[in-house]
Amino acid sequence: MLITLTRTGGFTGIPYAKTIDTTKIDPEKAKGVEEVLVSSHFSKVKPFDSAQGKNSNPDAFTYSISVEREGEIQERTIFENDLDPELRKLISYLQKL
Amino acid sequence: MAICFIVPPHILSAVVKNGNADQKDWAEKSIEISESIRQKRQAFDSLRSLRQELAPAGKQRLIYSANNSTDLPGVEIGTETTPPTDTAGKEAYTGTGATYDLYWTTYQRNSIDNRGMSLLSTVHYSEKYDNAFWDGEQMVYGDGDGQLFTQFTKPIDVTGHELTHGVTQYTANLDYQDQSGALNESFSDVFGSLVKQQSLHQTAAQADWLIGEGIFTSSVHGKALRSMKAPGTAYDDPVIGKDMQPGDMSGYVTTADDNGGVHINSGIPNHAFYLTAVAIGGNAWESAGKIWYETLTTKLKSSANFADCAYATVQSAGEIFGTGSKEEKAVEEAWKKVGVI
Ligand SMILES: [Zn+2]
Repeated sequence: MLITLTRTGGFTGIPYAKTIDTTKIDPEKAKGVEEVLVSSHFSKVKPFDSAQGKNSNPDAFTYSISVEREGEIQERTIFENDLDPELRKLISYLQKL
Repeated sequence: MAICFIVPPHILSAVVKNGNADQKDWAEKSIEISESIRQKRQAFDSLRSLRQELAPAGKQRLIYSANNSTDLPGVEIGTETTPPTDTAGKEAYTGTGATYDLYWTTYQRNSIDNRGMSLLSTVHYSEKYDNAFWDGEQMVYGDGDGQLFTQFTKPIDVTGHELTHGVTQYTANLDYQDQSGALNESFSDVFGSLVKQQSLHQTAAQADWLIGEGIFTSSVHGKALRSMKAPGTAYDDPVIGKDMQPGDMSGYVTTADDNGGVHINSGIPNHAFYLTAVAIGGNAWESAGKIWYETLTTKLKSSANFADCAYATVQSAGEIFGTGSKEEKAVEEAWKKVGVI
């Protein structure tokens, strides 16, 4: 599984991106990625609809996460102020890897 | 979840009743999250307005700490009369005070809403958090990751920047997207820089015109996050990349990221402000600052673009300093130089 986390916006305006190939990291950590993906209900986050709007909180982050497995890609964009604790856990887990 | 605050609670309740298993699951979760946040917020807001009624008018700072969680506002660590002792708390207290003072002494604005609203800041937000933001009601500051960024309370202009997002919200309420979003960002940089210049008693010629100077650790190749004097030159580093800001319309960046590059294209109006202030000379907050303040608070619609802002600042300069004044000419020349008019 390839998982990419990107972060845009923020006061600094400096984007951040990270791609993790779970076949190339410690299997324990790869298992951890699977677990946080499941507990965050990532796949149930509604796909971003640009008509739905913009990140209206000045300087807040916008996160995009894409999960690619067996040729299938699932991508979600989430505004910082819409993160629930489980999605926050997913993002911080990926950032710490 | 992306839509938990957008879907009204009664629709969520209907989904819980009538939806399929997946929809029910999602709706229940959404209700749970939004309800707990809403309740907390309501309790806090009533406490804040009660405090405001009891407090004397004028500068009212409240400093909270999230203790590295993401709960807002967190716990109180300082008030106007009992300043915080913690470093980040003290910095937020000082920066917020300097910002209040600029708005009050120079523009006779009583706080963000011009009605003496208490200025609430939460420090130590989240863990290793490289950001500061205005959430519509308060300022929020991270400690920085320590490797690239220090704490976001450190540069005084960051505080001025965040509070100005509040002022913008209560005045022009510029849409946070594309050119109006870049203007929203630019007004925050402008008044952030003026807070710093006033607190250091610097004239336009003496000021460094940098935004976020001191935010980088020594391992980053860069002076600051942005330069109003020379957009695009603030940093150039192998890890974080290069400052992408254009200084005129020929470098305008079209992108879907960052709400249409609001932190990038703000370089153009930032540079117009710098050119105006330097051409007029003296203290920027008393000249160009007055023109920009008048424009932000009385002349712009939410959808204003760069050209709207340019013509409005020329008009403001004429009203404040006289038609045909050197100030009015300086404003017009500046917007021409950056290619907006
Ligand atoms: Zn901003």
